Amino acid sequence: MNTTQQFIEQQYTQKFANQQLKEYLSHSGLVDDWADIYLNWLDSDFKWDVKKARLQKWRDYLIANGNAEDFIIEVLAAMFSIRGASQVQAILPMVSNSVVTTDSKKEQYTTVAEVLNVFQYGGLYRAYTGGEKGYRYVEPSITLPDDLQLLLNNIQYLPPMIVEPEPVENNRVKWATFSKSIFLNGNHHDGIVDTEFLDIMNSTAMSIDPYMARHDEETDDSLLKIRSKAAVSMLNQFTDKFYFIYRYDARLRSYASGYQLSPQGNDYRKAQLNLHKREIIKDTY
Amino acid sequence: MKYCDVNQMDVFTGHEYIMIAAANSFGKDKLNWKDRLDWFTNNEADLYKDSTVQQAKEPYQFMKALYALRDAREGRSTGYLVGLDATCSGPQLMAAMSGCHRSAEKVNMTGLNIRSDMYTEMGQALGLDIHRDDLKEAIMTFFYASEKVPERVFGDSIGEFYKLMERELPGAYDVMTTLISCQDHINDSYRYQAPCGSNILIRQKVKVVDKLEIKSEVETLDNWYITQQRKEFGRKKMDKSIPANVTHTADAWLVRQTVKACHKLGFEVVHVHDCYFCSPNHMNKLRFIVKSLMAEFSKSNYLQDCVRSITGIEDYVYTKVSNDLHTEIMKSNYHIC
Repeated sequence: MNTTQQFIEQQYTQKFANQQLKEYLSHSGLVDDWADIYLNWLDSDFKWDVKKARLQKWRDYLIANGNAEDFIIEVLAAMFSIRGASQVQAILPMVSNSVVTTDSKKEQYTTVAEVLNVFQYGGLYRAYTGGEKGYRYVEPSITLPDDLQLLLNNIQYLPPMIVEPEPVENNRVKWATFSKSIFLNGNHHDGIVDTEFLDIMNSTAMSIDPYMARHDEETDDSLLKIRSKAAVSMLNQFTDKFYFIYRYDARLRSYASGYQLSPQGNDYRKAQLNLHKREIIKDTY
Repeated sequence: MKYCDVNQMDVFTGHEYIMIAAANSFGKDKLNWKDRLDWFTNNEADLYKDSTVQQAKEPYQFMKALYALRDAREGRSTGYLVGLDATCSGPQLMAAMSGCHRSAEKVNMTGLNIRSDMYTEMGQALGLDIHRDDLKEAIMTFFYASEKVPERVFGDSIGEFYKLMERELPGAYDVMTTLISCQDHINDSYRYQAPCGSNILIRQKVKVVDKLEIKSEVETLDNWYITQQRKEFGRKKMDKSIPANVTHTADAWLVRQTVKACHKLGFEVVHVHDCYFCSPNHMNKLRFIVKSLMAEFSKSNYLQDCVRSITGIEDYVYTKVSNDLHTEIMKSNYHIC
């Protein structure tokens, strides 16, 4: 598989962003001892046995795998990926699956939120209650370098592929470094599903419209604007054709993967896209 | 523009399709084909002005069409995509499922060679001054079993609205009520088959609220109480998803078949559910393929098969209003426009 595609995918993964954040925080000394503090806290004599058992199990896992710091970084990365203040509720689902020692979503959420609570005076963010409904917010107190911030903002927003995706096999669509089910949101089916259609859509080469690329989107969503421009700029750097990967929902409705650029986006995003195959448009029937 | 008799559809050159696309993006998509082309020609001198672009409903796609037309006229190749939307795709598919000519007429699926705008017409029939966007939202969701949205939009006139829908789109109305009646037979999931035979499994999702108590049990740290919502598979108290899911499955089948048919003919299609995009050079073919597939679909017993699968009533029989709607669909001129 194309190494450039692999490079692009790496740039947009949670893992890569976390590594970069970890390096930055480590170099700046901002999270020194946080892993030890956290492990010590997990070992506290908590009032309730259920809580104690949950956190002891989690602590054992983190020690066995030596990844307490990675987990903390992951929580911080999720917080930094949202510009400005964010509700704690928005962060918890982004990290909860990493708490592998329990299947209970409630316990997973609680474990993530506890990290934010424990380090609320650590200097990286502040926590406060706000709004009419008294939601709990966290807000970064430091400004990350622009390139790192962009990396964190881009997590989960992989741009289109710059090489033609391989045909669907075993009901999975493939990027260069990973694959996903052809079904979105954990849906699945038994029996036969139309993969010929997905292969046709996935191999439809697209390009940026050369005229519309010169126009900026008029939007109040500055983050979306930054992401769109970054994606277009990145694509222009490597290729003049790219591909969207399509997946099905439970009804077999198909959706193009992509956010910054998508044929299923708003007026601006639709206007950005052309077929790569160019034709002289005829004035005859 | 080549004017055709009512047994065919009007066809256009690639250049004309770009003009139509510009007119559509400006907001003239409710006009008939000729009026859209006339609007473009009569106003072309002003269309390139910033002030005109700013008035467009979809300004970026409007601008893009103007650039594409310039390339086309100057003989430069382009990857430009022209897009045409189905007119009320939900009621269109429900009309096809029921074989109902009256419903089909309202949604541009007969040889009646006028461009119907069902949403506006229904608003006028009710004599209510309601914005088209609200009418669209209410009617569209009504056919997907929503009560709240129509009630919000029509207020005290809701009863008249229901009667109007039943009177003006009787087949589509019947499909919707038939599918709603299936809900008594389901538990937390249901199965049926797409028109191509693929199995569809719909699992309901329920909202789960977790009340989190974040107590670090450290004196200097405050306790947090967080209410976290999520969705997980489970039985809903009231499920009304069947009409929308059965219809969207048919819509998705239509898309898949269209894309594959066009691929076999050597051109590419991009879609946004019921909106189809291709090079202007191929839009005549694409329009014909979509209506041919819709005609084929109207001959099927899709609704009956779905009801049998969902309810488990193996001998259930759905009697269509007619069995000859396909001939009318093949005459349609504005099924996507």
